[in-house]
Amino acid sequence: MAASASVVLDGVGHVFPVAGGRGAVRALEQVSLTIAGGEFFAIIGPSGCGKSTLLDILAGLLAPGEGRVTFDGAEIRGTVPDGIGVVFQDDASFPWLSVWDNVAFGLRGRGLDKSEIAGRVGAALDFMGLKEFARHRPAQLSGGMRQRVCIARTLVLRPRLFLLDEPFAALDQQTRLLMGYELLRLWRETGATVVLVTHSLDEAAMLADRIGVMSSRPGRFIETVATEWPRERSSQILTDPRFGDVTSRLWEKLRAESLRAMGR
Amino acid sequence: MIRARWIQLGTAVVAVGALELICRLGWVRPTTLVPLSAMVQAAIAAAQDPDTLADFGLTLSTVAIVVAIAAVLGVVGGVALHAVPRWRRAAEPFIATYYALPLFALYPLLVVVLGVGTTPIIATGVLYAMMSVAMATLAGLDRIPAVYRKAARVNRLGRVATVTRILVPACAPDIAGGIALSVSYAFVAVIASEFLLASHGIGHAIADAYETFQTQRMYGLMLGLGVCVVAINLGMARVRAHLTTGAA
Repeated sequence: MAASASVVLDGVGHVFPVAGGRGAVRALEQVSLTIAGGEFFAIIGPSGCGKSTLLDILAGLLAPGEGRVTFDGAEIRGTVPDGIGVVFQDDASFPWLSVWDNVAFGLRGRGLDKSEIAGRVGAALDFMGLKEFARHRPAQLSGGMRQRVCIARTLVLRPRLFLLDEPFAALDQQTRLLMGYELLRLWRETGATVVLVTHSLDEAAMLADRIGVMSSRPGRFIETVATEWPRERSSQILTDPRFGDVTSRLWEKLRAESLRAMGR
Repeated sequence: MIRARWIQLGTAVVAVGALELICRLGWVRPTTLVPLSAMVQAAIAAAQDPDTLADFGLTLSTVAIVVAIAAVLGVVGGVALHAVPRWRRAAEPFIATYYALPLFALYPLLVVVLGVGTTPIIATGVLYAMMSVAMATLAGLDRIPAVYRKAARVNRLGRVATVTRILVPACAPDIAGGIALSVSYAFVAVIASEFLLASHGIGHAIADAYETFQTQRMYGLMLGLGVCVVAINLGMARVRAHLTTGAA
């Protein structure tokens, strides 16, 4: 099992220059947050509020213009550090590789011997229920299965921090629910820290320990809601009266920000 | 699907039958066109002639060299132009008008520079063939989803590994399409060069048969060449279909 980690964002801000030098867009402003090791943290916010930018900064894919981000005490600044795995919204499975080779992709060239790679890939395929599809190409799989391939490809790297950028956005409602439970199982069994960006209030309320609500652009956290669900949670949560309270509270905050983002 | 196959087969049978009939009935002169059965006979005879086989071998090997060089230069050129937008902007007008240039007119110059023999033929072929690979590589690289580049960084791939493990495989169907096109350009350039100035090769053999009024042999050689080109293109199409199915 991977050891847990903690993430600290301190006064993070970022500005994107507009093409052609005509001004700039401030995406993030004064984002400060601490995520405890082993925590499941969800981020919600209106469209264009900088959620994905924040995740890119957390992943080391983008250096923050202002402020500081640390993971396990070490600063992240534009380079993906060891121990961080990212699952993207878009299908990132490689169509020219089999499912097995997709999952093994990140392990090759890391000096691991073949038996170690085979063991890790086999375990990840087993965990994600993809063992019988190991020789298939992604084009032969459904959207949900392709996203599971991407999660398995991240899982084999044994990250201590999973970053997920709306990973289920393109999936139907039933598949989203099932994938949500898969994600909970993965979080419980690996002990990793999970940061999930989502547009779905229900998804955030069902999966996360805490939910950060972001303001309209420039994005910053305007409220953090703790769900206080037990670690061993199930679909029973959906019928719990507190589930309704959490989603109502989230919507209350998000509604005003969404209207502001729409210019109303 | 089955109906389309029957229509294709029926059209081919009617065309072949009409060709055979108009030649056998004497509606066209035998010095102009020979029946298909006579072309097949001549092609079989040519296939048993060691000199003609050597000519075929020389032409096919020249085309293979041209395609190999064009593929390498085209892929490297495409990747380089994609990597340096400034070079691409500078090269764009040239790329857009490349095939409008009378490249074959450079053949005498290439003979002067490279001497007589296979080398100027290869150079002419490469000039014709490489741009299709470069353009296909550029188009393929343009279509690569941005998330693949992010995946490369998350997997901490270096520049070279990103190109070899992600970018090139991702645009392999496009590159294969460009190479398939380069095969056609290579055949056109090599056969035309042999036809005009070479002393060996199937282009030269066809020209020789034409000039010595061996009409049946000329058509037999053309038929043999046509079968070769069609077989190579079908093979390329299968490779491309395999890559495209995987990348769909």
